[in-house]
Amino acid sequence: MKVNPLYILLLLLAVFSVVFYKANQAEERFTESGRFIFQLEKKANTISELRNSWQNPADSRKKIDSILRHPFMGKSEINRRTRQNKEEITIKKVNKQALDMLSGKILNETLKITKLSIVREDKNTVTVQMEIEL
Amino acid sequence: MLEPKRPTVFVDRATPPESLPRKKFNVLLAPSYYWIRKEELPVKYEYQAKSLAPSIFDGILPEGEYQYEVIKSENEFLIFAYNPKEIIQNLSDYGIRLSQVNYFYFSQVELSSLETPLKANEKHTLINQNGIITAVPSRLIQNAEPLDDFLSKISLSGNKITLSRINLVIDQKTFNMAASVLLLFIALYTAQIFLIKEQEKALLNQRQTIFESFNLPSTTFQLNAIEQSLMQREKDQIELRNAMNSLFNTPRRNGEYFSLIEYDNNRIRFELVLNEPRRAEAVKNALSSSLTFNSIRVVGNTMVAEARL
Repeated sequence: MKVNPLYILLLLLAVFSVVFYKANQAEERFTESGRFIFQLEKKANTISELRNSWQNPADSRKKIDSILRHPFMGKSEINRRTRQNKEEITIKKVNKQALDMLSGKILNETLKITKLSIVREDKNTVTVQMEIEL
Repeated sequence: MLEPKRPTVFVDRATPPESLPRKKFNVLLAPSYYWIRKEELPVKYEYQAKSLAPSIFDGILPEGEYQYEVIKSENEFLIFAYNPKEIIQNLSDYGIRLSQVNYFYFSQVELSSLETPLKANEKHTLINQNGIITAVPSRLIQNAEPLDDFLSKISLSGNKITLSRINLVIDQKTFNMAASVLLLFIALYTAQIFLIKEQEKALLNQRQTIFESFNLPSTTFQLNAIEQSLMQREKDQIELRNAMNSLFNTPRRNGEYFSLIEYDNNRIRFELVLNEPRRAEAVKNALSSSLTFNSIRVVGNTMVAEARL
């Protein structure tokens, strides 16, 4: 039986339409996936940077060690206790020089301070208590 | 499944059919609708002979666009040339729509075994003249059998043709070009789909790598929650930093000092010993840009304040 050429063309056109539609769909899906990966990578980098800064127990301990070992802290009485994921630090007899250093360092470092208390002991010294989340 | 037998109507160029069946029918084309050549050709197959047909009829056919049909008969080829446009136009003049017609048949093929003359209509009678079915004036032939009676008794061959207006719309060259272009695009887009699928696989791997290397949870919800929590942590610390800076830089007069500064759960409480109680208002004004005060009391010379970050 001879098939009408126009029917063949119509069939080809239908196949073309389907393939064209599928290709467009695939391209849209791919673009969307690409966009998702880009966003994911961006988010992952942000999270990684934030984690390094704010959720890095080893680094936080290192920073606390460095502050407490500062020469200005030599005359202070330091009591340090680790509870679960928190460091509780009490420093007595903190003089003005040490307090300036302490406030500058603690507040400018990426440490998660959950509690802070500065109580004047006498004219020259204060007691500093703080809780730092690791 | 056997197709139900459809009535056959003989259609002659010179005489319209007397009546037409209500249901779909086959059309037997009178010899006046086609040209025929019997040829021995140096080819084996009908399609090969068909390609030679235009040159066989070259110079014989009147002006027009013709189509060709070839039927092999032993060593010879029966080659038909017909003008579909003309046939369709003629049928239309007789009030026959193409949708009414099942198939078209050549008298030459269907009546090839004709021995006695057949009266097609008042004008023409069909005879077999040396193997060629020819229409002659009816007045010349006596005692011819009615063609309709003959047609009702025979079964038509498989050598049928279809005619449609759309056949006339598109020629072979246009068809080839259009089909090639469509096929090319189909191939290109199919290839594109496969390429995209491959690239998607690569993206999927990349996604997996990101999740693994950054140690991320699998859902976007969890991912957003982690990000929000860490950003909140950063925000809280920056706010604490700013608040403490403000407190430390509070304009104090000689002899004024903080006896207590406490921070807990985004709240700051401080006690500031002042030289005189009315200084509390000035301190409050100085700090109000960075702290939102919940309460301020002045006990003696001490300003006791609680604020939110």
